[in-house]
Amino acid sequence: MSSSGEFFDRTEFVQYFRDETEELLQSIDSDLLRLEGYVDTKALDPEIVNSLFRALHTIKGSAGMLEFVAVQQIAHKLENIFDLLRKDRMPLTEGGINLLFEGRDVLTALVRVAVAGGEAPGGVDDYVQRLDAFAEIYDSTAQVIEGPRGEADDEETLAPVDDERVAAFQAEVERMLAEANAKQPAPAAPAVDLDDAQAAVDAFLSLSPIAAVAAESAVAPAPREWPAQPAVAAAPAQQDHKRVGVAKNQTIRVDIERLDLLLNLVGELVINRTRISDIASTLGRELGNKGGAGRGMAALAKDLSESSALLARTTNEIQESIMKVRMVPIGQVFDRFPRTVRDLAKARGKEIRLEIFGADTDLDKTIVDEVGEPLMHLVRNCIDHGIEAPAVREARGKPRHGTIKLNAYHEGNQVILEISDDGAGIDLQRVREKAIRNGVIDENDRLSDREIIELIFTPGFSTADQVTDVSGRGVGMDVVKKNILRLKGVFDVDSVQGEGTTFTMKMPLTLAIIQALMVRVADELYSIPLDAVIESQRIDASDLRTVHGGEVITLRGQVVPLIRVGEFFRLGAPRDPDKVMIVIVGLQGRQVGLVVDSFQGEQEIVIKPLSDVIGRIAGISGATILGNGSISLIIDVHSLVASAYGSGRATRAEFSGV
Amino acid sequence: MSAKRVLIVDDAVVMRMMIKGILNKNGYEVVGEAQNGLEAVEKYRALTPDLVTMDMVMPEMDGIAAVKQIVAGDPNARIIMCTSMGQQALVVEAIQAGAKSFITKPFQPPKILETIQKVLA
Repeated sequence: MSSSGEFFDRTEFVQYFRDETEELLQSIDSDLLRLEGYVDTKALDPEIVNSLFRALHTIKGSAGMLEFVAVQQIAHKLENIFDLLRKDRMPLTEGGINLLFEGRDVLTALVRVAVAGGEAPGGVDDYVQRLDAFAEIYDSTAQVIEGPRGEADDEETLAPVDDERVAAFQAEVERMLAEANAKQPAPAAPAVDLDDAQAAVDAFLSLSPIAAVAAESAVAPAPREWPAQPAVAAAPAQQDHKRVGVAKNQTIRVDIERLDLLLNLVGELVINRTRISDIASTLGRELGNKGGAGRGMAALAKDLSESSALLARTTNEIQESIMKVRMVPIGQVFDRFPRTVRDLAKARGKEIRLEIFGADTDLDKTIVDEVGEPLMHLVRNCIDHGIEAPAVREARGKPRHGTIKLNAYHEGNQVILEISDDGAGIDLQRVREKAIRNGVIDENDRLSDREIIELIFTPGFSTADQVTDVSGRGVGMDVVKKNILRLKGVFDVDSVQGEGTTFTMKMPLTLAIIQALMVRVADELYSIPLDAVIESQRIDASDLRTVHGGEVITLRGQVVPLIRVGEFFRLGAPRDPDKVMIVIVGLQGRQVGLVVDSFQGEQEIVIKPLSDVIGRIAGISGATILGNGSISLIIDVHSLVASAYGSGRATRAEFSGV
Repeated sequence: MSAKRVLIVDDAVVMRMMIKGILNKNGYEVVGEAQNGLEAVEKYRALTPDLVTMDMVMPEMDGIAAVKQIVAGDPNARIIMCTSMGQQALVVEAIQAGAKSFITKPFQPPKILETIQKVLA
């Protein structure tokens, strides 16, 4: 139909369309949520309605250019509703807002299909019919009052552009112009009286607070708050809308793969930088030992050492900058929740308030992308199992509406994500009974409260009496925990019966570079992620004891199981009969002592995943290349802790984290 | 003759890219882009382009208000409105405010070029 093909590389525009529309759909969602507060009230906030109208208008226009007809059509129909709303021709009702929410979802599905292909979502025709029927009530009254709306009805607006229709449109405009001009002399006739023009310029300049300056130079930049003349559609002065305003022009979109490549290259640079430092210090030492080296050589060695220090500093800065580039605000994920909470709360007949804090907390994009699903699951869990029905809450002396809080903040090198509710808390008695029934624990097992709570992470565990369509769908807390652990996060639950539950996730800022404690075991260098290390100690072999066939030590009154790394990896190193070197690692309050041969200091390492060819090795999470080019395997603390506690040395009920 | 300098005003990035593509390929120089009326007025003053393509529906300040402000400062400003079908009344208002012509969305590239040539003639 249109001849745009010859002018455009379509795929590029489809990408722009996808990104922009995604943003707009998100803003539509949050605007709808705000609008919902105005149901059945007389005065809508025009700012919200205008913002919705514009978002749909933009989607319609862009979809039109790309010939995404289905998207264009729905966007147009929804835009029409907001037009009716903002012109006060339609009241905002509960049914109406639900229809709009549904429309937003239909639109999202259609956009996905338009961009990525795949099957058209079902129910679109049905939705269009309902929407039309709904709009018709108000649209037809409007027409009775104001007469027919001219040539512009839906069909016409959306018909493929052809010259005839454009010509008709043009003719209509000209007719209206002529009509208007007949009523009053043409204000914008091409011939402009010079005096008038001067007067206009004067008027223009006098509007500016910096008139005196501006008068000297007509091209002086205008201040931001330049007073606007009355606009036709009330133009909101301020927009508290997620879309980045003017600053957007200063932003570019970069494919994440390019950043990954860059980060990888910097990783190599870091490795070589370390190597050069090594060489420089070795050279210095050698020259020092020989003593007789010429002055020239000594000076060269000093230069090398200095410039290698400089190189180290610059490399670090580059590395940090790239990390920062990869950071995005967690708000991208949080933004999805208001809508979910609203829909689910309605479906469950619960009243829930969602409070979001720290949406601007930055973390690595990979983590932000991956953490969405576990978070969503937890929020659903709060709605389904945590928050009680309004009547129950009142009977318990709580406010009718429950509150779910999402919180994010930085703590050292980590980001803490918290989801909490003020609901019923975890019913320990029921969890215990269920676990006994499932054969996870024995009736005679004596478990601490904490240990009981941990039972909910057993695969397939659910205390819900009924399987709801919300959280009881076979995806259990075990999967949530697994996903968090996979992202090198730590997951924790805190629950007080009757008062509520808090899920806490500690996530690393980035996944690519970590601080590690280097240890030597049977001539191999291993890396232990420093965030899991509690302390390292040298103890007498006589302090070791054997419990249930496993070695333990007692550390400040706590029994800590030991794993001999050399034996775990079957390296066949002999045991030292007198002294043992132990690295205490801990996860979620559980500690394990790793027995190694010697400590080799701390170092920053770049994590390289093990290739699929090698596959997963128990106890190893990846590898890194050291300054001298040799390889060090990274110890997977999670799986070691799990194996220590899973093999019967500790309480049977202890849940293995991996 | 040097290339004519154009300022593109539209809140939709897809639209801006498309118009830019068409103009660049046909010997025009796109000197700036604005995504709302306020920005348009500022950039018009700073860049003094030969031509402006102006969207109607935008946040902060809509197209018609922007036309009024630009024309108030430069009565010879050449502004082409980009409009959807069905916005006749708004187009009329924009032309009364001083816009020189208009094109309808979805654009047909030859039509855009034709309109621009006419307005610049």
